[in-house]
Amino acid sequence: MAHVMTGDFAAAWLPSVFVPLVGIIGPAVAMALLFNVIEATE
Amino acid sequence: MTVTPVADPCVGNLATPVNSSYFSKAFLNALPAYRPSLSPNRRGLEVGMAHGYLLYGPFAVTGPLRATEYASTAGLLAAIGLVSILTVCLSIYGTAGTGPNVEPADATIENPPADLFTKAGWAEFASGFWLGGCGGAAFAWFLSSMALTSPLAHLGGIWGAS
Repeated sequence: MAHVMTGDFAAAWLPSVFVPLVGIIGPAVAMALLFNVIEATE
Repeated sequence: MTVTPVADPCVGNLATPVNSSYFSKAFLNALPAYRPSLSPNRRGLEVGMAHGYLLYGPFAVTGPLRATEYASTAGLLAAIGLVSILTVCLSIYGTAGTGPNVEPADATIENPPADLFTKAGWAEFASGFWLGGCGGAAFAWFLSSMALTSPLAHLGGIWGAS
């Protein structure tokens, strides 16, 4: 088996970009924005 | 062990040994958050140093790369990552709504620092926290990899921050 964290499909590096993006960065940005929405006073 | 009402007996606010004994008050008023005459940035620095120094160990010793030679580097980067996440949380807390509000004086903290609980003060606190956090994690990383002090990080021989 090749290096475990990759595949032999096209642009095999993409998952290692999108998994953290969708799993960590995206939720962090969404949580920060929604926090400001729900805590807005005016 | 005396329990007395703080002010108006009809108001359910009691001064108990937990919230107003000499030790509780001395300890809590000495914390960086409440120690008098510190700037918010300086408070954040100290709070960050303590948290950064604390966070390095668990990441280095139990992190996914613990059994490799990158354990300490990965521990340092993970600790800095978490400190950065905590800093983002601190700063969005400070910007939400009308900003932090000064906690009222109570039996334990006679005069809470007013300049800390403002939008500008809190932003300063958050930036100090980030700097202190990275500094604390780097200091712990440095201690656990320097020959002089790394034996301290390997006590018991069971595991250690390599």
